[in-house]
Amino acid sequence: MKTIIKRIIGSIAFFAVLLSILISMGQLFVPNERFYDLWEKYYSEPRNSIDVVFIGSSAMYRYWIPPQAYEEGKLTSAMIAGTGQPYEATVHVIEETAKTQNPTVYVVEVRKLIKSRCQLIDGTYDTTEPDYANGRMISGMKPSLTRFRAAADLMSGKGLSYRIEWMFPILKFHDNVFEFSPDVILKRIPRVTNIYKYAAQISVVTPFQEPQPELDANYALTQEDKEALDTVVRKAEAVGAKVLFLSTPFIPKDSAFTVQTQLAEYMAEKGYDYLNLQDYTDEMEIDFATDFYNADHFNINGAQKSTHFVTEYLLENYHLPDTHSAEVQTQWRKASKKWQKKSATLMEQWAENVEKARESQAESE
Amino acid sequence: MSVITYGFLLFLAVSLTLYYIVPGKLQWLVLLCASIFFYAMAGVEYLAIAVGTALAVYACSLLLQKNLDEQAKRLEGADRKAARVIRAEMKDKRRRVLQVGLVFIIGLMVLFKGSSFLVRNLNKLLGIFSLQGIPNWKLIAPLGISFYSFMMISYLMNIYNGKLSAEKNFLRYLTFVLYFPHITQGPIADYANVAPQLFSGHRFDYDALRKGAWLMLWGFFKKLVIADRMSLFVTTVFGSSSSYAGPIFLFAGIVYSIQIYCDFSGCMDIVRGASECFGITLQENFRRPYFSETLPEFWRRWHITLGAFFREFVFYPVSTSKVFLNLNALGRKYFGNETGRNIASCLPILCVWFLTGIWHGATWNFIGWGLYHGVLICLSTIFEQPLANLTARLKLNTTTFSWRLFRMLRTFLLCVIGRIISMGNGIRASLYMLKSMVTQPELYNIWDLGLNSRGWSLVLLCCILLLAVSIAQEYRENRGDGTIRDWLAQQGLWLRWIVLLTGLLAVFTFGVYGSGVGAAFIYEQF
Repeated sequence: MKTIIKRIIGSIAFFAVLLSILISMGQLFVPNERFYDLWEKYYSEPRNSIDVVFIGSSAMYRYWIPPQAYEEGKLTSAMIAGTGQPYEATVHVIEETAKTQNPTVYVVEVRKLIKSRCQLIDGTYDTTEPDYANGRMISGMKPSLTRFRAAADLMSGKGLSYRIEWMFPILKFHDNVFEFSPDVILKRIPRVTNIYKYAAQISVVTPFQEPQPELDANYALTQEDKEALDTVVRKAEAVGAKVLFLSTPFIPKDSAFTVQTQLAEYMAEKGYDYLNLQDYTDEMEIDFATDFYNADHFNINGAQKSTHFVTEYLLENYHLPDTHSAEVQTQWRKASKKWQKKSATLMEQWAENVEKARESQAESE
Repeated sequence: MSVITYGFLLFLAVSLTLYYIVPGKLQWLVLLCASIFFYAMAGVEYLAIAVGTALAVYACSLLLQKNLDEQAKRLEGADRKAARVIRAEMKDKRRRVLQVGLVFIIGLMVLFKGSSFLVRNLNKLLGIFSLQGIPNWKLIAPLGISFYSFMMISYLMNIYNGKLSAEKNFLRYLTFVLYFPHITQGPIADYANVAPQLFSGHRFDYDALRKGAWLMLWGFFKKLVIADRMSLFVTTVFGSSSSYAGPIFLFAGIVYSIQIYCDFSGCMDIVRGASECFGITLQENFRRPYFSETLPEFWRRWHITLGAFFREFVFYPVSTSKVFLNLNALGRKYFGNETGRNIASCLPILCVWFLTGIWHGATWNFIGWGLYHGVLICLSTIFEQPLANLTARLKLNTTTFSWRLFRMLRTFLLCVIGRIISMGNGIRASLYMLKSMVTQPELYNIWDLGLNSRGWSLVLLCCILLLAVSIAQEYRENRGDGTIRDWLAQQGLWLRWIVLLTGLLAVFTFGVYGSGVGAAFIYEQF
């Protein structure tokens, strides 16, 4: 009997050691790239220091500048927003973020939901980007049941092997061992500091005219989409937070405009907080000729305007904390200062790009 | 379901748990259900074919057994003359049943694996005479058809020869046929060896389980870390051989020889290890074949069960058949004793090797490969004595390590040439590669051909480790000291942990696996 117990304990201990090594090693293999580090930045925030968490795709992170929001309203925020990040990831992000922070509000962008619905109706929906975005988002999470559930849920259409690989980064990224150098290893071991607090703006300018989309009867918000919205609200409530659904300005096609309109109706029907910035482009003084870098995203100039607007909206409509600890204030002050320097550079570049765009437009005319 | 997937590991864990929960008498049913599930994952239609074939063989086996029982009954009290008549009569009937069984099994194998080749070549022949060809088709062969067919043939032949009694319970027989560790790539199991283990109850044996797991780990290492990494280079060169020239083909042949060894023996280690976890020991299929000093020895160390099958069921019956005995006599009459004897011994050898080539693949490359080995073995048989006389006359010390090493390297080189023949995209491509490697001096930077310098460093390190382990295995086996696993089991906890953790981490870190990476087994295609 003693031998049996010894063997059981020995086997469990062995697998526990193996699992620990695999999980720790996994972080060394994850690509050294901005979106993989999102979670690292989040985990490095002092506990319970974040007032608002922003979740979504590039339709979020191109529109929100956290250091500017702090500068203007002493509002601390975090972003778990990656390129192509599907809406379906939101519930898992809320669950994970609530472990180390207690934000008052989750701001969840809905353009990705709208875009996916339009593509599904069109028949142009391709799973490659969302699969990769989901995988990237999952592999950055700390190992936990949340991560395993996220992998099982978000990749339920894929095979077992696919899901298991995304659950354990070493399985997915082990080939990166051949890219190892001392430099790479040094970058991976210490926790990354978040010097610009998630800000990711660019200065490219592409001129547009204000869009005049129309309704298209071929497109509609489905029951599945509505349930997805309800699920997020329930999840946020379960962690004691509110949800503000956000739609950021872009140049919509008729399809997206139609679905977005129906979404707004559903929001009103359910009484959900919903802010469609497209309705406030005049108040924000958005210039379609200078504030976009492509049809789907703001550049630095546009982002500054949307950040200012949303900051005021949040301060007016939500009871956010007045003060933060000295450590938090110091961190955010530093980030704001650094961001001011960076944004000044970006704005100079933006101004040049505006000139170039105008010249180019004049030439073509 | 490939044995190198997470799904298989999960399946194995569940099967093992159920196996050791149920009473010993019912354990074989767990194996049967698990094997059916495993095979059905490849396609239910193929399961139906395998089961149907097993049913036909089972029916034949019962008829053969009935014949033998009747013969035994009739022989009671019969005198010698009557007994001879009875035996001949019963054997004649038995032969007919056997022939039906063999035609059925071989017919299905030819249909699935060889019909496309036959039709293609027939159409070429018809084309020469400007006749219309017949429509070509390619059937997807059921998983493991080459292996389970040979197991069935072996089963019927052993019953026919009275070495084995037929299994009366069809489900038990089906368990043997479909037994999931050996169904995909062998080893070609002998019913007499495996069945008693399959149907006897097994108590949970921690030592057997962990040693089985260790063997699986070694198999995963050979397959995923060595074989699949080498394949990145091999497929680059052999995949477009017309784009290359010179000694690169020899180098690729050497690398491929190591790759195919690690691939096949790696799989064997995984399936044998999995089987040992159930307390069932399957026969070894590889015994350090590249340590062989002659080709006949190589084929006694490489794919051992296939060699044993062909020896027992093709070579011996053919060489002792009336036709060949008459041929032997004729040969001695017209060409003299020695030449006549050589002709009589070489023809069955060539017959075996022709079939071995076809078994590996119904292509001219594999037929050429088979005949190449057949010719070499014939030559080694013919020149064995003359060479022994020569080395004696030259007073060469044939017991030295350097002499043995020379013979090992020579045998290895001969195998490499054979591999190049099999790897060409057509016989012409193979001949081009063989000619080019000795006539054209072009050189290439090998780390631009699928594997970078770090990849090659890893491969080299792993090959050194493989060599060291193989030498240790060979040494221990020659001394009768047991396996490396036995040695490891006797070591302290820390050393065991270090070895196992290093092995597991090596597989996880350096293995070629992951969705999108095509890590299939080379021998699965057979």
